[in-house]
Amino acid sequence: MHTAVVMAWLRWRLLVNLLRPTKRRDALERASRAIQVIAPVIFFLIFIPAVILAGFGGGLAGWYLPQSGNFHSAVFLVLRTILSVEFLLALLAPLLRASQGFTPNVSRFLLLPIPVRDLYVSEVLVAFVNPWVALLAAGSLLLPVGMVLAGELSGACTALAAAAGILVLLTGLETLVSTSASLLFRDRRRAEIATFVLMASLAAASFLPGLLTTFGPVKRRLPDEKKIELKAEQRSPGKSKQPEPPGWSGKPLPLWALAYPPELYARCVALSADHRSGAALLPLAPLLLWASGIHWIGAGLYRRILETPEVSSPRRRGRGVVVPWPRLPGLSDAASAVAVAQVRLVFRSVQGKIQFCILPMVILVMGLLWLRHPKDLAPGGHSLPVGLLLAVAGIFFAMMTLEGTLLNQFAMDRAGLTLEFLSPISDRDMILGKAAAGALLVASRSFPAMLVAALLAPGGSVFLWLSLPFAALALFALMAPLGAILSALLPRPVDPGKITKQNQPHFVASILGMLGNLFAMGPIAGLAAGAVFLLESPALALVFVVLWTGIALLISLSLLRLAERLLAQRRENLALVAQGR
Amino acid sequence: MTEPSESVGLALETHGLRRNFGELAAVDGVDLSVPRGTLYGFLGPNGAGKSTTIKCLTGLLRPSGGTMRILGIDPENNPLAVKRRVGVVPEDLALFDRLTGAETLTFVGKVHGLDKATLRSRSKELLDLMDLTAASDNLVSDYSHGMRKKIALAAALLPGPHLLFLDEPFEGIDAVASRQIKDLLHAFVGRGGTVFLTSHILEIVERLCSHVGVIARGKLVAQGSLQSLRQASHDGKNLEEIFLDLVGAGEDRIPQMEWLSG
Ligand SMILES: Nc1ncnc2c1ncn2[C@@H]1O[C@H](COP(=O)(O)OP(=O)(O)O)[C@@H](O)[C@H]1O
Ligand SMILES: [Mg+2]
Repeated sequence: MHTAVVMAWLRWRLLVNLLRPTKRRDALERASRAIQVIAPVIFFLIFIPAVILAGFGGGLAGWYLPQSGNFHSAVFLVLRTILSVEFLLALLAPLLRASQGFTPNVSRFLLLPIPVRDLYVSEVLVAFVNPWVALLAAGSLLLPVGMVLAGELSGACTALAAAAGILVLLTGLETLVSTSASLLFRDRRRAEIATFVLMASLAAASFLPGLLTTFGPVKRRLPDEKKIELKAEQRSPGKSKQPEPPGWSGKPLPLWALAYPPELYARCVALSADHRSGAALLPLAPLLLWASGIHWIGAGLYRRILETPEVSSPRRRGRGVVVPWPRLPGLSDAASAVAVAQVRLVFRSVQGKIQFCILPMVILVMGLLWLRHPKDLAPGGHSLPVGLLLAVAGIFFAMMTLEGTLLNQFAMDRAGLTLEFLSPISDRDMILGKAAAGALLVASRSFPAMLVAALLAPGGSVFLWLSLPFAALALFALMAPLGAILSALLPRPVDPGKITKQNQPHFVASILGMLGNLFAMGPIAGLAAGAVFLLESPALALVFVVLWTGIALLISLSLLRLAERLLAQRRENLALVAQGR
Repeated sequence: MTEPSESVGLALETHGLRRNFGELAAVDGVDLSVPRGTLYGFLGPNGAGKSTTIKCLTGLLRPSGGTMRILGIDPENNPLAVKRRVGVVPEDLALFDRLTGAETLTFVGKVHGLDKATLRSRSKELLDLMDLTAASDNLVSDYSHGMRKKIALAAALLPGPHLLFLDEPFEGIDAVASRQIKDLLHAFVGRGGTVFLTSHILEIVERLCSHVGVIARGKLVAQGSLQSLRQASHDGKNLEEIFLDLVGAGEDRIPQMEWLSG
């Protein structure tokens, strides 16, 4: 217990110190941190009423279930849904957290004179503070109280035991998964591969429904649904009007429930409420067995992670001392080196790899959906130039995915920024190098997307297709200086090995960047639309867009000058922030 | 204005260099003069302002006051000219985590516009010397602290600087590497280079350096060649006593703490 208190205190102090103003931060920096601090406060303001509400809901259900009524199955539908969500969260949340770099850094506790068992217990107790576990705890612990109020005493006892069982099980499961995850993730390379696989499969899973509706059998929706409703009414005419007969809780322990603990809990609660607390012991026993088994394994793994040293898997062997390092035309040595380093770093980061791989996939799926259901998406049933629209979406997404790089281009180099500042790189070379890197990255993301679009639906005017690269250039020309200016004003320390919120730029910068994107898109879209719809000449659209690109480049050059001067002013601050001060 | 003839012999010269952090004067009117071709040890206890001084000299921090001349150039007017001629290993090792050792050297070489052949031969030599050839293809983030320090030093040396700023270069480095680095620094100075290194460890400075500056609480309390410093205190004190005297840690501060007796 003492250990748990110490650990809780430690976590609390770390949080408080994070928020404490220090001399190292200037006013702008402090303000930007303050904004980020408000979010958790709001979260707590929402969270506390939610816990109270969950407790109240649990109590209400406990009071209602032992009595006769119409909504027993509805209550259990809600209960089962909540339980399965919680179960999934206990499995997925630690994995996601680990992939974002929040693995419990336990090894530093090893130096303290604390038994491993106490450390494990405090780790489990911390899992209870998770908002979603706290919600379930409030609900499931007050449910027996409701039962007592309804006069079902023995049922309340079994329900209470089941609540304890499921809570201990879920926290144990979460600790177990997070321990396994940190075993997996503590090697940097393994962690990055695992993160990539996890993210890619989550992305693929989210495309799946779309693809299934596209390629699965086309349903005649309306008639089907009606039939089902009819059938349901035939089967149970007026059933919903009558109170459920005693014994609604059904079989105490179907075999499959043995493999799925949340169902054990649901059955146990149902039987308890149904005045069959003797039968409720049947699912309760395996539930408690599950809970203790998971803790037994979890504690063992936890000990293992503490007692085995960290290892770092070696990389491939030498490629020689000089690495291929292209010289970009039109830039000075220094600017070119900055640009190449930046592109390399982005492609080497997990986030960069994921974004590069997923964008063409997104365009592909969007295109397939669109081609399959053109009527759903095109008002009036006109045939739209689907390929062109997809390509435009590709450019837009490419700009959006780049925001992490573009809007935080200095601080993202971390200690490398100090190296750049110590090297003979002028402010202009810094800005131009970063802009060139951004251009290469936008091109590397938007061209595959455009290619997919063109292959999928090559229709539409050639002139419009030709104007797309210019549009991308014009868009980027305006975004590059904006990005540099925002990066100089609102730097944020990041960790490129992870895909966390920490990797996104400052959120004020994100919002301004998004607005900038829309504004920069405006003229291009307006000119193209005007030429096509008013003048009915796609060729003119190309001319307009090319002209606008020229203007945008001129504007861009003068804005880059401004960014240069700003960078000169902010060097000192940037260096401090980039190192996480 | 300092006359050119006066500063010809000086690699580094500051007058009244100051840097404040809010109320705190981390560097408080420091007048350094570092002759060319010397190994200058900048000695002081933790928090004395050594790193802050180096950061001001290398342009990472803007001084709150005072003037500087580095290799005869004013770094505030012509920072690039200074940066082309000096190599720096700052306290937190300016390195891209996600470049490999070899890539780090290539980056620095490209920034300085070295041609391919020069870059290749120098990289190879430096990696061999630092015993990093086998690890040259690993990301710097996978390096140990000592390896990072060595690759940072290699990166500082690669462009062939005239003046080296090293902040605590021997912290966290094993005995063999530290021996090699000492030899390297001696060779560098022997060929006319100048080294300005900081340390809080007296023995290192005493053994390695020809010139010493002692800083305490932001103020330069002594400066000169090792010999002249030894002679200045006639009463036959060793340098440790001089150092402790200078930084104001007298005998009265000998810790009591009897409970530590075990
Ligand atoms: N960025 C900063 N912001 C505020 N105070 C700083 C900063 N950097 C250094 N200091 C303070 O300046 C003093 C000198 O620090 P430093 O130069 O790092 O000492 P050292 O001689 O150990 O290298 C210390 O008191 C330190 O806390
Ligand atoms: Mg220091």
